[in-house]
Amino acid sequence: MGVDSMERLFVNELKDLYSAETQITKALPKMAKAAASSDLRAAFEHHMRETEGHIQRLEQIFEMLDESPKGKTCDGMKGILDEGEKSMKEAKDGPLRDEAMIAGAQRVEHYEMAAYGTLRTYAEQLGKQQIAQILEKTLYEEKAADKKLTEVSEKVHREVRRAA
Amino acid sequence: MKLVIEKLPDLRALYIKQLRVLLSAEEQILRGLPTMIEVATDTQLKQALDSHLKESEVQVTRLRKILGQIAGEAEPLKCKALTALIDETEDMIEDSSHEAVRDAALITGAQRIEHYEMAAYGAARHFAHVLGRDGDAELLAQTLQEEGHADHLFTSIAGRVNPAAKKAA
Repeated sequence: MGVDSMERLFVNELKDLYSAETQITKALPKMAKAAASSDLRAAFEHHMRETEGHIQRLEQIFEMLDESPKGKTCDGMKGILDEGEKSMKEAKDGPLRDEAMIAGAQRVEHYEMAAYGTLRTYAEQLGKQQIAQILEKTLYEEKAADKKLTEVSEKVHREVRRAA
Repeated sequence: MKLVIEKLPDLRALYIKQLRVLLSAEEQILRGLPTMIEVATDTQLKQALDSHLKESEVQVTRLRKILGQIAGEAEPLKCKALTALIDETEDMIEDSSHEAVRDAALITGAQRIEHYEMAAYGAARHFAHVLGRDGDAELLAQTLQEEGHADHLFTSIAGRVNPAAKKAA
């Protein structure tokens, strides 16, 4: 289907993001399970609960727009998650695998930050203030999750250095 | 040097691998950008993409230099995530039937790519620090700064292009 308006582009990208979030909920439990650091495991588990909330928010937005969330696969997220899974399998378990997982998780967060940032701007420009506010909340949480991962990585770095 | 690493034994190996993946990402960007520049209609967007192409060439040189020093050679390792991000962007461009909407779609894709790079260079710079490779960390920080700057520039262009796309609708 041709995208000939900002409205259509907005809905298409929302569908893309819905697919991305759904894929993340499938990957996070595996990452939490593989984490050696208890801080990292807790961060993944916390973000898992947040992600479920993000999906609910998107569903709420689709309802407001009278659109279906289904119909798209986010190939971008699929590529990022595949890469992360491969790098997780390659790294020796322990702090090194934690490092590899953090590097992967931060790519996921940045993808989401870019996507939610753009969508919030679209919503504002389309005069959909309420939707923009909902997207803003999630954007804030994604940024916080990225910061948290940086903090955890500092701890893991120290462990890696000790192990080296 | 053996470059096929079965299991990564230490942070140095992880660091080298991530640099090789980044090199592949940058090379894909160098191949993808000319098409994006060609289809962009907004002059400022065209210029921003064009100057990012020139920046990317320098960034490739930096990666080659770092890899040459630590690994003896600079062999890219296919970055599948970037392939997916570029494919996704190309799909969005093809789907857009109006010029201004296409520019908006292009910016969205470009920002996802910038963010991927920001996350990847951020992680690589961290690894360089931990490994005590301060020279590498400095070079990677330069690139990281350029990527962040490119992302901001795209945001400011989007602020102009999107209302035009809305009017076109």
